Amino acid sequence: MINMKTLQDLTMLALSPEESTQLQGELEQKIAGMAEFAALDFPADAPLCVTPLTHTNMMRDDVVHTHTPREVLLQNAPAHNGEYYAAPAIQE
Amino acid sequence: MTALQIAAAIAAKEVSVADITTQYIEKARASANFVAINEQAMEQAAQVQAKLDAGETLSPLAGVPVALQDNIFVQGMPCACGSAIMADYMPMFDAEVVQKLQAAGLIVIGKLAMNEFADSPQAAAAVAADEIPFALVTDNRKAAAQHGVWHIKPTYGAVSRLGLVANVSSMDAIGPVARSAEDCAALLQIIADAQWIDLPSGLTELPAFPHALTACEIISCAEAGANLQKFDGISLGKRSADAQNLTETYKFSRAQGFGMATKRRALFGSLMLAGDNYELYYKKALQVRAQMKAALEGVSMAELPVDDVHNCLASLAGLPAIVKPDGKQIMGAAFTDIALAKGGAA
Amino acid sequence: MSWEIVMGLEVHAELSTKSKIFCGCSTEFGAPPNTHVCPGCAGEPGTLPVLNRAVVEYAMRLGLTLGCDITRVNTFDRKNYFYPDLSKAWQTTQLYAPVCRNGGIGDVRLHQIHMEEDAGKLVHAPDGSAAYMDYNRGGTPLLEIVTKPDFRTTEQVLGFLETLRETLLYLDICDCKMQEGSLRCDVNLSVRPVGQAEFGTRTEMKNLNSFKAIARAIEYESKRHIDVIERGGSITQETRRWDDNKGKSMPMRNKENAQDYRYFPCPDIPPVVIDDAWLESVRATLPELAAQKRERYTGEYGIAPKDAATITVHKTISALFEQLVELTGQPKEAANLITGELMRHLNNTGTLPEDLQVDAGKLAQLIELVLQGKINRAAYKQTMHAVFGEDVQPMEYIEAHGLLMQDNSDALAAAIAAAIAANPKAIADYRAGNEKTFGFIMGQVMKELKGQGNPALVKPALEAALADC
Repeated sequence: MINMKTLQDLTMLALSPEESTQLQGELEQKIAGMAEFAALDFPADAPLCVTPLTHTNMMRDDVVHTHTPREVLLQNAPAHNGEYYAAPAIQE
Repeated sequence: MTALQIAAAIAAKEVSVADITTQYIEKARASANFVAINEQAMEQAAQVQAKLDAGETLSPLAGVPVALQDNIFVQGMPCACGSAIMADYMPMFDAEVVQKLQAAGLIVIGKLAMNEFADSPQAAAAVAADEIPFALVTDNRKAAAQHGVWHIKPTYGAVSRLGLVANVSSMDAIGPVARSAEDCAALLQIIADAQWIDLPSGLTELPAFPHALTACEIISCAEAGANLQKFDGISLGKRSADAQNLTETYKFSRAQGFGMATKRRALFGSLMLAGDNYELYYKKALQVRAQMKAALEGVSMAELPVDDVHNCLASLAGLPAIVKPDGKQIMGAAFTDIALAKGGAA
Repeated sequence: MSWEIVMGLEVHAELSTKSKIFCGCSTEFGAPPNTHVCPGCAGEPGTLPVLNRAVVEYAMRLGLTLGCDITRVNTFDRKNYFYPDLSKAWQTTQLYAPVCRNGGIGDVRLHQIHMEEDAGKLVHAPDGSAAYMDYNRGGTPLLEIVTKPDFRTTEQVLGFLETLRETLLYLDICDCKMQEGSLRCDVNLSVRPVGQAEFGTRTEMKNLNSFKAIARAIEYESKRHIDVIERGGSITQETRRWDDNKGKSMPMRNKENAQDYRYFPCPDIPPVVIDDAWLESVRATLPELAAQKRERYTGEYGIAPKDAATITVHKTISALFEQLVELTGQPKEAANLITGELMRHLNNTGTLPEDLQVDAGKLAQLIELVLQGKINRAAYKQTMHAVFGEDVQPMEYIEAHGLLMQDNSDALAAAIAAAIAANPKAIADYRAGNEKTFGFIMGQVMKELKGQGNPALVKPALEAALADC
């Protein structure tokens, strides 16, 4: 059984009860269909492929480039006060 | 006319860049496939014409109009990726492919509608109907096959992803969709690093990969879900007006901003990484991928149907694939993109 | 019941690279909000990280110095969570292949050191109605240094942190300003009955902004643990925030507890392979550290250990000392200058060692002048403070203030003659074998010279004159 509440908390989504039920069903069906995959057994040191690229050591020098002007950055902020991005209060 | 034919006509001064641009701007404005029009297009057309008149050599496609899927940044034009959460988003820089197009003298006409954070059937439709000679899209093999147009998904890494809204970071590749293999090759050569696309190729047998599709779905959804986390309604993305506190702001903004398909992918992606599932599913997907990539090293070319089961091979291994108007694709070894285009045209 | 306190530390050091770990924005402290930010560190779509090589090299420097095993194939992972100070909702860190493993300082073993990026800063509105985000700090490179639970006392913890701080400063990879947040320490603490092998349940404490706060927090939290357990309760494993004003720790909500970070390898950052050549080239640039310097100063130069400790309190001070030795060949004079007048100057003006700016050449000149007898010690000190304070030219200042010693042997001979003539009894005493009167006669000569006498010159001249009497 997939815990939809936990999953929504992790993914920061608020689903309606109908959406939650529907998606839960779909996800559980998907997991059921993946039983053979879950049973695959690789040795612990089997290589992982994270990306098809085989590069290594893609690095840059420690040099300062120009930043982006603040007003341009804040243009895309959901809320701001000209200096800071603004968010609702955080309860510590 | 194909893109190369338009370019030839412009070079022969049979038609001006301004005229061609005007034609395609009008088509774009009238089309439901476009979500944004480049208001600077006529000005850019004049600049390109001036360079051509002055004898400058720009590229074999100089003066040809092109469109971009709406997940590729053009500074000054909105970019929404087909999502409510990106409504009003204004890119702060041009994508690297856009810089290359401009240097080559192509004219960006506008941005093409798309499925939320996914592919763009609208791009394939627009090209098929000659609303635009060709376009740049991310993996559009299914849509291209459905509309009978040519499309290359390039070797992963051949084309810069800078300025592309990331969907599946380890699979995303910007490629051409056009009405001829030659147009695809010509456009690819403008946006890709030459050494990444120019190896020769030949037909071979393909081994079977029973777990590839599952591995691909797991990796795609996990990466896409993670890449979507930045749209949180807090520092980015349309903020919900109904939220009463921080957590609600996150949850409502994202729930209201994403469609069902995107939510499904994000939830499945989270699930595949949560708790023990990393070991049970995600890590195995990476191991399956490693096995597959190694097995495909010996394969130089294979003709395959266009469907999820076969699409995932090129996606996982980062291999190039060209979709032909007959609805089939040819997948090649890494770096053989141009050879595929030439072989496909034959 | 006898209790043992068991602690481990997680120390975050902000690296003093010029640019951030994954983009070219400046890391300089104190800029106006959101003015050192680009689309990359703002967490915008369409961006890609590019690793700053200096971050890897700083990590290697620290790892080599602390005797760690350097990981040869480094990867980065995404740690996923939602919080306003984390613009893209993941932090890039190293879970699966941290750059350093093992190693240690003294008796304390390290678990690992890994590279990661810092989050931005949250500022809360005074009326609590909103929170404001400044992403200047977002993307600043961090090294997280994790120890094994080897600490048993506060003294051990503070001693370790002192040595770590000194090491980071000498390696020139972190400015260690706790008040600016460039060095942060979280303490993991548990208690167990003496003799028990299993560890107790631990809590993690954050927001410890000074060594004093760390000491207070350890005292409070260990008492709290013991108190809870002795009353029959059990400790909840959780992260707690230390409030230094209130003198207590309180549970933190949401961000740290019960979080599933869903780590996975970051597809945007290729592995970093450290080969022998790179490792050795970094090893070759390692500077001599404070402990090695102290050994050298006491061994080679015969400097007292207490003085050597003072000189090595900060690398700017030890660098100045070494410059002075190189320029004058006088280690003891250089040491006295530093432990005496320089320390006096720093204390009086409240100058931090790292902010010290002084021309070593001018100080070297002063040392030479006083040893040559051209100025006396009083003039030496006075001129030195003028150099510290106003960066004067020593000779100009000395001449302007008439501090040059009379190097006039006629005047000296006259003064000696006058003093001998005026004090026949003392001379007789001296001749009779009373060596103590020499000092008195010297004093009389100095009086004749009106304080302009250079004892280094007067003494031999007087001795010669008395021998001739």
